Amino acid sequence: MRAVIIGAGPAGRAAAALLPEARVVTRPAETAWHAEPGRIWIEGAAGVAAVEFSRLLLAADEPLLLMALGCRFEAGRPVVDEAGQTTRPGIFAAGAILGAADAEEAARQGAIAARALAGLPPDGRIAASPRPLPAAERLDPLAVAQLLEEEPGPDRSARALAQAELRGARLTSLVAPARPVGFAALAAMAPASLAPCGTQADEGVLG
Amino acid sequence: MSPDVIVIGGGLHGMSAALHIARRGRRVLVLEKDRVAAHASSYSAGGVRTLGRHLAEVPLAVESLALWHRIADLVGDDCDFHETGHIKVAETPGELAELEARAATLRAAGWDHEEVVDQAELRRILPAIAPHAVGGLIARRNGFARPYRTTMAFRRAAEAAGAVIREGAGVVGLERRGGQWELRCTDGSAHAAPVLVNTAGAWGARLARSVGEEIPLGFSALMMIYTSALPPFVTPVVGLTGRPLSFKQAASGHVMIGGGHKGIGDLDTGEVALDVERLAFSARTALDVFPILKEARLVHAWAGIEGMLPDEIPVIGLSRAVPGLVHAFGFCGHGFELGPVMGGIVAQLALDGATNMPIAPFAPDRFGAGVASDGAALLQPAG
Repeated sequence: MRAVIIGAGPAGRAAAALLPEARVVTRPAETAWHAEPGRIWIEGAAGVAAVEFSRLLLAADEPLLLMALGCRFEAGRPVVDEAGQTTRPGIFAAGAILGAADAEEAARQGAIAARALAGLPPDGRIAASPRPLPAAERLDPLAVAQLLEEEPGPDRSARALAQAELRGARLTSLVAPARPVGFAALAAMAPASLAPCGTQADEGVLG
Repeated sequence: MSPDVIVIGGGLHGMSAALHIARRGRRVLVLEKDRVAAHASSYSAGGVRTLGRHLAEVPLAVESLALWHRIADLVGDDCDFHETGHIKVAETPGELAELEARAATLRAAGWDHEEVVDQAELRRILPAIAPHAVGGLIARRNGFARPYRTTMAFRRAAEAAGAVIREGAGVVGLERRGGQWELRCTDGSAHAAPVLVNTAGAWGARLARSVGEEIPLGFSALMMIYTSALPPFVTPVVGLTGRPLSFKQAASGHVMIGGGHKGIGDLDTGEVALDVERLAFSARTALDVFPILKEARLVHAWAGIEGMLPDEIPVIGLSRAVPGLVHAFGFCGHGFELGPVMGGIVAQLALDGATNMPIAPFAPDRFGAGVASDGAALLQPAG
């Protein structure tokens, strides 16, 4: 198992105490930029690097990371079970991302999720508190870029979530990296050459 | 309402078709499975480009460009269209020779909108270009606009002209009976009209398949990037001759980078995922030609699903398989510029059964005999 914990607030610290082997990503030294199933990209002083994971605990208010991983959201929060597991197996959430009321509750959630993540029996129950989302008009990519350029925090998260919600039941994801990233650092990750990428085929029918 | 024409697909092409049909006094209903502009119509790069197009597309693109220059007359909104020029940069003498040959081909065909510029002129037009660039090919009257705003302007104009737009209505069944198309939708609604227009984009072949017409449409989730806002350093939209890149700076200072690198899309869910390795490759290409980007941050990256055909030009024309069906889909990442002119063409096909525009190369049945396409385009940056 390769476990990664994002965030070192109360939830992240409580989880890390129970998961000494886990890789903990802590701002400001390291920032989780974007994720896909099994991989998360971290920007640090040396650039951007991919980190593989088999289990992930998000203990920071970074909803776009969970969206990129395909986790379902309701009422401004990721949908989680009593152990904090999202709709994607092996991906957990605790603390600020679930609206934990205070540091004590965040730490409690972090510990519950960490136990579940390690395959231990649950030791309490996690429930997310709804996050009210602002009324929103649909934004085009330039306006979304301007929104994502704003200071990360509860306001930016809520407005990004409101955009994702506008995209409707069949367009569940606002596909966007969670945080800005250095352009040159991203470019430095490029392989020397790329295999050609053909078009995707479709044999589908109406309905 | 009993419509004269039903348009399936509420993207830019569907809205433009509805606008032109409604302005000819006919009743038109648009059925959209998600929302208007759910995919390519809001996520494209917004290039208004005649430069480098396939020769078959040139007459349509030139006609459409004239409409773009008075777009507010057509839809009551300027769509944030800016005439900035488009330029294709040669990074080697061999590429410059390729551009010279292209300009000569175009001149021989009677077109003069693409013009070769030498290294000095290139540097005057693009002061921030990397020193290795040796020249370019420019179309000065080209520009860019905002795709979502444009599609919504067409929507408002179409509705003002009497078109009815129904969102959340995916067609799940259709049948032709007694000279009428009878349709059933995901929202439980049923509709009928004598003529159907298929502007379903990447989903267009599914509609054709349901009436027994097989069109080899694939799809791609074309990725794009916005950087943080930078001081103004580039006016025209920039492409490259030998590598995929489309590059422009918005008035706000944000730089959009696209050009054809692909993420992964899903036609059943409409969802897309980024391919980070290809995104990084795209960033490096942009950095190679505009070193100023080393100071920038990437703030947004996204992808939109677009229909692609083997010869990289769309399907436009009457179905040869069934009566009363007009196809206009599969614009292969460069349909945005054609939006204004396409509505008029589709309206002619739907209402008159023919158009005066040269659409023979786009025939829906052209793939049957394995005919090779000539008049190939330059490397076309998506959008």
